[in-house]
Amino acid sequence: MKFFPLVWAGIWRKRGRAILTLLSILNAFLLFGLLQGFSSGLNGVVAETHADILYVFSRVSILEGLPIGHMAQIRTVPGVKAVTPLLVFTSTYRTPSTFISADAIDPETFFEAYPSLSAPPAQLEAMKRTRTGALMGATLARLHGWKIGDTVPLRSLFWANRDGSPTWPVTIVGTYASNDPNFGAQALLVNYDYVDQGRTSQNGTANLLIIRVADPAKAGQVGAAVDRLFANSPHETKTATEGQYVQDQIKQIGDIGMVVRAIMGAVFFALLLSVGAVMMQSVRERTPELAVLKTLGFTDRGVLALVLAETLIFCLVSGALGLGVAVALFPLARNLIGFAMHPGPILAWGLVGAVVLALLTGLPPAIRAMRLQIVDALAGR
Amino acid sequence: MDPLVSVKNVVKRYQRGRQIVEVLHNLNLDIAKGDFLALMGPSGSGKTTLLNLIGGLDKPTQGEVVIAGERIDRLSSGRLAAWRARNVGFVFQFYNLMPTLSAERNVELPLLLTHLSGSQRKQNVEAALELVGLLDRRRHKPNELSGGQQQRVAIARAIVADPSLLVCDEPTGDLDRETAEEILGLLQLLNREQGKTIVMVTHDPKAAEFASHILHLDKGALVDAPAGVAA
Amino acid sequence: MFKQIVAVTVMNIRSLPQRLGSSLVVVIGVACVVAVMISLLAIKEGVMQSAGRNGAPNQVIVLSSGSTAAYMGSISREQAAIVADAPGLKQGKDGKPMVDPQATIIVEVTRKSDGGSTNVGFLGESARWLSLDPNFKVVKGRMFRPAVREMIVGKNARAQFKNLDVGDHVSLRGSDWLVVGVFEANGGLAENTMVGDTDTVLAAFDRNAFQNITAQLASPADFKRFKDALTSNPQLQVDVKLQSQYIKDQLQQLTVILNFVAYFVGTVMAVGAVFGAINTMYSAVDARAREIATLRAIGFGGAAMVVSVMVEALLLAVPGALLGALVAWLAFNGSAAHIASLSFHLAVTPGLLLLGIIWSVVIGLIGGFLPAIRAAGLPVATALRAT
Repeated sequence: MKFFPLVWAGIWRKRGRAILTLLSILNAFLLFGLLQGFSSGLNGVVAETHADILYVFSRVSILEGLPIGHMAQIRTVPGVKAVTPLLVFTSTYRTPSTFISADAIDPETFFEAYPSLSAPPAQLEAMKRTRTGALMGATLARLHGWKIGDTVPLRSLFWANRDGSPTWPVTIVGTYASNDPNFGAQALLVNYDYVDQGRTSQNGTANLLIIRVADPAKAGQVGAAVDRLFANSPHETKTATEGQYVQDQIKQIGDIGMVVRAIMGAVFFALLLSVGAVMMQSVRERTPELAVLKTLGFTDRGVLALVLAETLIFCLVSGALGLGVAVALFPLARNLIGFAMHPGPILAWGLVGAVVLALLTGLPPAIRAMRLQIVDALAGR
Repeated sequence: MDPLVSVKNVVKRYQRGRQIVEVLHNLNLDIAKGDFLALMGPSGSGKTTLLNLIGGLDKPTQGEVVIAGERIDRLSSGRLAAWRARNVGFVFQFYNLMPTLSAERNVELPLLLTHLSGSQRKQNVEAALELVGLLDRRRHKPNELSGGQQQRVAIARAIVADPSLLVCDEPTGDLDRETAEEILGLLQLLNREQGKTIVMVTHDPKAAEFASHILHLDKGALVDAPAGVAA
Repeated sequence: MFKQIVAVTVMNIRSLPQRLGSSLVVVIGVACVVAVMISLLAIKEGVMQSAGRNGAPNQVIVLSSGSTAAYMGSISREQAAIVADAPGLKQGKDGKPMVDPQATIIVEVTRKSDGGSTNVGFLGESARWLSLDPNFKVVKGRMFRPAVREMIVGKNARAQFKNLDVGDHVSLRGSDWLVVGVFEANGGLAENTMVGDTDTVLAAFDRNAFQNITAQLASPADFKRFKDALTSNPQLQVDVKLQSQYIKDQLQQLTVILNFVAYFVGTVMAVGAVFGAINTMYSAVDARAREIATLRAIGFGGAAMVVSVMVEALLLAVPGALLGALVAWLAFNGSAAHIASLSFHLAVTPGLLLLGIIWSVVIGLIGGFLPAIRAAGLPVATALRAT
């Protein structure tokens, strides 16, 4: 591109101003990258779910329990490969503000139904044998310094212990591993029997029953069949695929996409004005120089192209830098919010945005440059 | 021999606000190839206007401007731009160099409009800068050069595409006596050794002495020769 | 010195119309920042306002020890009786202590807007307790009868969710509930809930214990006495909180998130506005380089220049804030919104307007600072030659 030195020199004509404008564009695209990344990341979570996993909840709400007796009937539904109960056992440890994400499970059936989690066979056996046994995730172990053999006193948020004490001691017998982006390594798995036999209310129930289907394509059918089984009974069910469940949770929060769009609308509008003002001013200052280019033989269209090229390169580079910083922050953000944000769509939309910005801010001054009359401009009129 | 430049019955009018002002009245002028012509006259005489017409920067209201047999008053603005690139070089009173480009990049500008390769352009630029004696300053920006040096860069730019015609508007107006004479000497060199036809507007009689012919313009008409041919 | 500042500032302002375009950049840039920030914070203000209603200072809630929310609790009848005997309770108009053991069940309902589900509270309260509440009012239909599966629905819940109007049947845990009334609670959070008779609710959901106890103290000063009596009793395992504190705790996570988003976005946008302001003020100073140099040659001090540029920056930024606040107010004040089951109205408060003005002042000061220094330090001779 032989015209590049000319275009580049035009961009950096006033270095301070160029840097400030670059920073404002960078800033706006950084915000866009983060906000849009968050919004798309949320949608991405749904995509990461397992197509062969169904969650069965009480129709009342996910906080109500379902009788585990339901499992026997569920096993009779064709297409069901495995069923396992899960009882939420969120507790505090040592201080009232240290929360442990504990779940009471049935070690015989849990890992078969939820194959993204696994535990070493010897430790799994220990879990089955020890009533108070518990398997910890690696993150949890690191956080609290627990080791195999430790006894951890938990205080349940939901249930009082039949023996009158507020604590539920559990013994760490091993660890579990997870390759599931949505169920991480920060949980503690305890025995369902231990909790259910010790609590004073809602015995024989679980918060949810996890079903693994043989054929993911038939998941919807299996779910409907399960719900039909218990329709009009005292414990009606609501079965959904993992994806549907996650999506439902997200939708409850509200229309995040719209909020993001409104914010970016305001940001873009302000940016348009400030960058547009700078570009227009830059062309006005260069009126004599542009006239000289025309005397040298640059056509009107050529000068238009020159100004547009400047604006385009400037906006693309600044925007790319902003998006780059945003994407670089994604891994950090993941730790904060718990799900991954994907750069792909951000970069694509950001590119479009930068081009639109360049056109809207560059065309008016470019047209002005095109229309410049040599003689008037040289004479200073 | 046919003149290089032929101005025939040219009238130029401008609109200033509500008024229409006629700046050139029925002007006729021929300039021979290889001539070095100085155009003199008081301010407001229309000499810059005439120069603009000859250089293809503007079009006459009436009449013809013929250069090397071509009616440039008939060319569209796009064609005229291309014509300028090939056929004429400009030298201005205030140099009009791009402040953000180095000397060699400034000189290269007219060549960007050609199909020459990068190395060919470099060759031509260096030749032009060598001719004006500024090859060793080719990386300097205009604000690092003196007035005279800037004007020499401007001249290098004007000749780099090897045009047959050079149009100069008060080229020494902003220079001290000594530097002015250097510049005028350079123009003379370009005229005598390279055969470039030069039309120079000046108000300085000493500068005009460097030219081969002098014409006077007053109130939009040539004073010297009646409807004259100056050859 | 002051006269100098005033004189220069007036001159600057007089020449503003020539620089209208770039001046507008600052005004509108600041307006956008303030509008967005105020709108986002109006969400939080709206939530807080709704939560703060009906927060009588003597209202307390008793929860199971360690529970973070009412629905998690388990308090037996015996334990409830002990609580009813505790010192510090207010006497009701009927001579009995102001205490009500309640049920709290979380139930899923369907949104009218997109058919999705939301969790809402289905509370079990005694008719007596409701009748003694001055903020409570049945505005459509009638109150529920005891021992029958009848419920009343809060105004917001009825508006937001399907099948919750008078006459509708709601099927829960295999039994059929009839909606017999709609109630208002003076704009408070209760309007997002459904309410039925306590024992009926408990029985329908197989609960053999209450989830929480609500009570009123004789005076706010009795809180410590009441709390100590309960927490020191070995037969009870409870936490005692002021109702207002409980609600604040429930909303804490939400308000933290809302604040974070508003201030994060606001800061990033403000940074952008600062860049724009610096650009504009630099070009303003450059455009008047000769004027400024002339003034300094005449004898106007550098300090006057600095202050006048900063003042000009503020004169652009602050109207921007007012404009932004106005836009936010017009667009969003009072508009209805909900987060999960929480219905509320966005509130653009005078406090937010003040915050917007403060931000604009900061933006203006930072944006005007460097150009102001340039104006003060302009080399007089070169500037006078500027063409």
